[in-house]
Order: sequence, then C-alpha cells, then structure tokens
Amino acid sequence: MRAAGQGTGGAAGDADGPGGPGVPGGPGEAGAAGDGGPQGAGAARASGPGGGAPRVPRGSAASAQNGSCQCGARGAERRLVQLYITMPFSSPMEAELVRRVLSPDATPLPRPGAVLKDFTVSGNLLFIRLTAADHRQLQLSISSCLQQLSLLMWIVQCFLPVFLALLHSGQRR
Amino acid sequence: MPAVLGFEGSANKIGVGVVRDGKVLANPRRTYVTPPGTGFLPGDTARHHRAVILDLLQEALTESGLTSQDIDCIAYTKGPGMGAPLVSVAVVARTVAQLWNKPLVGVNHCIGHIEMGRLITGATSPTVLYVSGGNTQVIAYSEHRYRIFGETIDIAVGNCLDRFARVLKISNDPSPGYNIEQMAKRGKKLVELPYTVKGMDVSFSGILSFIEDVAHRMLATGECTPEDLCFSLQETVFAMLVEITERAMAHCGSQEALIVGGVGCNVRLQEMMATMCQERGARLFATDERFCIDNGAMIAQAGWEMFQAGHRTPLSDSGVTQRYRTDEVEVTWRD
Repeated sequence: MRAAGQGTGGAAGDADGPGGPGVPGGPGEAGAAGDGGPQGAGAARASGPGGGAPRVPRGSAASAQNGSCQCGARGAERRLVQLYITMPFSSPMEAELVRRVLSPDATPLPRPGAVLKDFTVSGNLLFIRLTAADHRQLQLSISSCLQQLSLLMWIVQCFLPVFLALLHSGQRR
Repeated sequence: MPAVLGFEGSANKIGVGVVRDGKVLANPRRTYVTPPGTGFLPGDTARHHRAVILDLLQEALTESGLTSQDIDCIAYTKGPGMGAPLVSVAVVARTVAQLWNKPLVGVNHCIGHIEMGRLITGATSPTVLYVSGGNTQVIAYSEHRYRIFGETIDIAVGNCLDRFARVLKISNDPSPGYNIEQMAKRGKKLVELPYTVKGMDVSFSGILSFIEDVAHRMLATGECTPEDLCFSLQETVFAMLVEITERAMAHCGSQEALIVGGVGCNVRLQEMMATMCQERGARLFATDERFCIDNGAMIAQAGWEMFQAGHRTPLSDSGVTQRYRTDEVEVTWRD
C-alpha cells in the first residue's frame, strides 16, 4: 500500500530534514522519517486506517502547510527520528490481537530519551510507529520491538489453531 | 476449583507456574547466568526470557496435566522489576489470555513472595523479612495492606552481595549469593565492616563501597582470605536484617517471622533469625529454594487469591511498573 506521490520508500534508518525516505511503500516494509513532520511535497501521507502509514504528528518546527521544513525557525526545537513498520497478518483478528497485546506498553513514562510507540490496525495490517529523540534510542527500540513481534508470532502460531477450533465449535468460554 | 497460570520474569529468573486451590501443580524455571565479574543487563535478560518462555509454558502445562481450557486465569508480574524483562513476560501473558479467553491479573512481585511463603509454611500473620537482589523490606499485614515497617534506603541486600561477588569474580552459577554462602562457611576471621542501621531501616551502599575498596588490598597483603570477606560480609549484613526485623516484631507484638525472597534461602540468615526468634519466644518460617527464589508459582498463588477476591486487570491497564510498592495493593482477600 503506497501513500500518494510516494517513491520507492521502504528504507530503514532515519532521515534528516525534508526529502528523506518518507513513508513505508508497502506491506511488510519499514520506513523512517526525521523531524516528526511531513517530509516534503512528494511524500504526502494518507491519514488514518486504510490509507497507509498513520499521519505523523506535526512538530512545531516542521508544520508548514506546504510541507517544507523551516530550519531557520527550528532553533532549539527537538529533532525526532522515527521508524514505521507495516506488518501483514493472515486476518484482521490477528492484527488486532497483536495491537492489543503491544499497546499497554506503548505509552512511556515522561522521561528524557523515552521512545514513543504507536500501534494502529487497518484490515489485516498492523502499523507501528516508533519515535525517539535520538538514533541510538530508536535503534534499541527497533531491536526490542522486532524481537517481541517475533515472539508474538511464535505464540500465535502455537496456540491460534486451538483458539480457532474452539471458536468455530462455539466452545470458547 | 480454579487453576491459575502465573508468569514471573522481573529479574534474571523466568518461571511459569500452575496453582490450583493451594496446590502447586507445576513450577518450571530458568535462570539467566552471566560470566563471573558481570551482572545481568535488562536487554540481554529480556532476550533470554523471550527465548525460553514458550518452552517453559509448554513444560508447565505438561507437568500440571492441564490444558488451556482447564486454566481459569492468567497471572503475571506487573512489577516491580527490570523494565525490559517485565515487558517481555507481560506480552506473553496478554497474548495467552486473549487466545485462551481467560481473565488477566497483574500481581505485585513482593506480594507473590509473601503469599507463597504463607501458603507453603502455614504462617498466619507473620512479620515478613523480604530479602532479594532487588528488594529488602520488613513487612507486616494490617487493615488490608502489606505495610512496610522498614526497608533499605539504598540498595537491596542481595544486590550488595551480588556486586561484592563481582569484585572477587565469584561465579554467578547457580547464583552469586549461593557461592558466597558456601565460601563463607570456610571463613575464619571476622573483618570489621560498617554496620548501618537507621531506626527501622538499613543501608548497604556504604558497606559495599567499603568492602570494594579494601578487598583487593587486604587480599594482596594476606590480611584475610576471600572466604573471610564472604563470612564477614554475611555476618554484618545479616545482623542488620535481624535487628530491623526484631524491631518490627516488637512494634507489632508479632510472634511469627517469615523470610521470603532469594536471599532467604541462605542458611546462615535463617540460623541468625532463628536465634533471635527463639530469644523472643517467636516462631520462624522459611521456604526452600523452590519457592524462595523468584518463580512462577508464587505469581500464580497470589493471582489465585486475587482472582478469587474478584480482581481483574483489563488489557488497557496491563502495562508493567518498574516501581510498584508493596503497600500499593489493597489486599481484599484477607480479613
């Protein structure tokens, strides 16, 4: 699923200033953006479910209507680095289950260096957005997030068949 | 007869236990052991837990002879503890609760120790000495709360012992505290160390700093042996713990003392506490390493009590808490 006007996208990492890799280009891909704001005229983002990556929260420095970054006005403003992950599942139920499992830990305590995590679902796609104040924090968070996803997939594979069998037979209590 | 599955992983031990009506049906556990001279870091510990937790879950179900349909509730450690390991276990508990459609109960780790100690020993209303690598508290029950009467004002006693073990590069297998205990049995000389009790509280950072400073010099000059240092450290810190426990017992008029937590396995600590209790005409209770050391069954047992009392943790509230005080929980399952 591509955002309108999006190029190839999909590269993991971070981008500084406008014109970076921008939003993810399709299912299962990761993308990154810097500055917490729109990346430029060519990287328009669809908002909400069904439209690709969730809209990036607008930082005060990069919230210009035309998408350009007012570097001069940024001054002492905090620069953020972000990573987007789009994860496909075999059903919307699975995607929603994983979202509900990961969401309780999404809101960090208000402390310097905390990584903000957002999880949203559209159909069978889970969208994950990680926002950090620096690269190192983001890298650590990516590693942890992917390992947790891996473990969740493993558990779901182990127990989902029984769950579905019980569901279909109407025996779920 | 509800059966509760409990997940514990707040530090370097990960366990999954099954408890039904006061019986421990399964309690497998794994420990993340680091090389001598090092401690365990949150990220590495979480990675270890993620790698073994599914196997432990299968083991617990097999050992208990139960299936997912027989389980009535999923309990997990909500806190306190290390963030990444707590999250890695909580995520599994939430997933299993959703897939099996069972209610979730978040348990305070300290209360897990206390409830397991009460179950195993049969103590009715003891003054509890909770001592581990992460916590050191003297606790007594009063009006639906486990009240903290005394505690460490800096580091836990187990943390003091573990960090001393790193100084001497004592092995962490099976645990640094256990190896210090074995070495202490061979100690002959008591080295004077700072003894710090402040009213109902204790402090261990000073004695740790002191022994870290002097250890190598004293060993190099032959003034003492590593066994002497282990012996001296144990005698000093355990005497401090006995003092604050006795003070709490005197305050509460208590005739029972219960030791819980990993450091509670230490036989020398149990001997010293027993001597104090005997002098007061009180009874001492303690468990063995199956239940002293962090384990899943203690979370399952506390979860069982909470589940029976009607506690439920909605998914939206099932986040973990690194700092979770023992007296934050309303103990509705006791009179």
